[in-house]
Amino acid sequence: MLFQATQQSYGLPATEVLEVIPRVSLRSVAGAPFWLAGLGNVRGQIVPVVDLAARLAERPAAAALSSRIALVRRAGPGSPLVGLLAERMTGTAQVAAQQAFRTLTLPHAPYLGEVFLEDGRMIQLIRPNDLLGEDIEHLLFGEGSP
Amino acid sequence: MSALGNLKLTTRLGLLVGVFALSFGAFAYVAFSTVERVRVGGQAYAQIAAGKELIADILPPPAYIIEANLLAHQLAGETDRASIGGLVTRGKALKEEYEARRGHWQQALPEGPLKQALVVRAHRPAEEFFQLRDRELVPAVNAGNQARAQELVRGPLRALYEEHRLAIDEAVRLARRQNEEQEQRVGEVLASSSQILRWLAGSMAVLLLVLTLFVRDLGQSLAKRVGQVAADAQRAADGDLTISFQEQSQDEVGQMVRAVGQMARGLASLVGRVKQSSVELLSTATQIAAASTQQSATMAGLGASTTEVAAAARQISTTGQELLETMNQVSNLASGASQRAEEGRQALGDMEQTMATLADASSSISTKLATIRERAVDISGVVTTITKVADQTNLLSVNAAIEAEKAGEYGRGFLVLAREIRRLADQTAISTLDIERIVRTMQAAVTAGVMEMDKFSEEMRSSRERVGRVGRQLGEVILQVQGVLSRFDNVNEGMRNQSEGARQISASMGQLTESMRQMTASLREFNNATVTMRDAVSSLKQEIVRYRVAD
Repeated sequence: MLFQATQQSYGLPATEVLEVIPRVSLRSVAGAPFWLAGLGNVRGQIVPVVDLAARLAERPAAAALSSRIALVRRAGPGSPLVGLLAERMTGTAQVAAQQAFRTLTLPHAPYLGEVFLEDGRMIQLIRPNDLLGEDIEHLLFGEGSP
Repeated sequence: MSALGNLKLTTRLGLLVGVFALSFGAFAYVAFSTVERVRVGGQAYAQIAAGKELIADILPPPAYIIEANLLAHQLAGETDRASIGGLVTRGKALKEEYEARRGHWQQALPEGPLKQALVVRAHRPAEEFFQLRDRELVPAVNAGNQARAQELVRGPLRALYEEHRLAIDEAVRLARRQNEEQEQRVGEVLASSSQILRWLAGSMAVLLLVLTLFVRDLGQSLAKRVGQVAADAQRAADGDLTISFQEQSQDEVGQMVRAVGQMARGLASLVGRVKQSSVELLSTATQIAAASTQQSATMAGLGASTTEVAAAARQISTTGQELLETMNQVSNLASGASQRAEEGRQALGDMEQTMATLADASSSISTKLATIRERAVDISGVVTTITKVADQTNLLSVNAAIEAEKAGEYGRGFLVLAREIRRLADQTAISTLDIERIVRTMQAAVTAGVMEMDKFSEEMRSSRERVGRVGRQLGEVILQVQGVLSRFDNVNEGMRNQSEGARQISASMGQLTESMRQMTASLREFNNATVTMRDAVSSLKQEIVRYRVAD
């Protein structure tokens, strides 16, 4: 699964994505960090939505038709859904694991994964579980999180 | 008189005295001879006395009634009626004459024995005589009583007459004596008069001597004073006006001297003024001469100017003619311009109409452009719908791909399908984008077109207005040009008049030049006269210099 933040292309593992939905109207949360876009209503279920553009490029995602929300489920079935908002979330790509290039592991950004080459573009993989760090977990879902 | 006027004053006075003495001598002679002639017993006296005596001898004396007595006798002897009437009348006349003479003597004579004798004693018998005659004699004669008449005449009437005659004789005697006394007295008086006359002659001679001396003294004194005055006056006449004429005397000579002094002073002040005036006059004359010379020069300049003016006037005349021709040309040009303007106005009217048509066309174009814009909006709506559909398709294909990935090997074919679907959706989106871009471009173009059209319409309208205005102005221009054409005729007329006037001015200038020449000649004469005057003033000044005046 591919998306873009600023000029860089990023990707999400398709296996972890439940569904891609159009951008729904979000209710902003007062006092929340700026990368938390708000709360969205996804088929009768309140889902927190994280703005990947804000998280990665430190600017909010444009309100375009191609800006979409990818729903991911954290750590196994039954756990709450999290929406990831990103721009130009319009295509998929199939990459081989051996083509991956392990980049630097930054302690404050553990969600940045391997980098692949696809049609001449460098695509960096985002690991959703790491993206939602402990503090975010705590913030979003409170007690009882692993 | 001129011979007398040349004599000296003393001589004249001497002559006066001589004439006076001669006159006096003549007077004395005449007086003596007259006295001699008229003295009692003298020539004249004797003649008068003789005349008186002659009358007395011839005439019957009225105061003496001798004639009345004679008449009474005559009456007494008369019988004829007619004669009696004449004698009575004559008697009455004699009585009246007696009464008159008696009255006269009663008045004239002084009281004395003569008057007593004549008026009183001689009168009573005369009175009675007349009474008796009238009361008795005349009635008796009338009655024809001759005897009675004779008796009366010879009786009482004669007695009365005698008495009267005696009284008269006495009176005559008295008168004779009185005359003699009178003659003696007058003779004495005349003798003493001669003595007085002789005395008078002697004193006159003395007086004459004194007078001669006095006159000589007076003459000398007068001659001296008048001579002094004459000398002073001569000096004054010679030019010395500083002399003071001092004279205290109040007589005529003093007055004369004072008058001469006043005259000399007046003359001095006059001469002073004349001197001053002559200086001023000289300077004035010089100025006048200079001014006249200047004026002469100015005149010459004026003459030149006049000639120039005449030339200029001639030039004006020529220019006026040229201008006239030019005006005619301009007039032709103006009528041509009027025609062109008329044509231009018609062309403008056509243009206005064309522009109106153009404006209509442009507004219909505007309407059509608006329609196009509406259609473009519709197209936009459709394109949006297509875009939404493509987006949905893409979303579906992405989700399908994710699902196929999750299915692993089983979903491989489905994944390919999903990828194809996504590719179609992408192409659709790209095409849509193209359409959208084209439509947007078209919309922009249409908007610009509409704006241009609006602007064009606006310009069209204003142009139309301008054209209308220009048309109207052109109409006015035509009117004005036509007015100008009519005025050109006036101007032509005026030009002709001006040309004529210039010619007249030129002629007048010629006359003026002639006048100028005459005037210059006059000025020259005037200049000469001024020079003469200056010379005269100079000579006057020299004359005046002769006089010395106290400052």
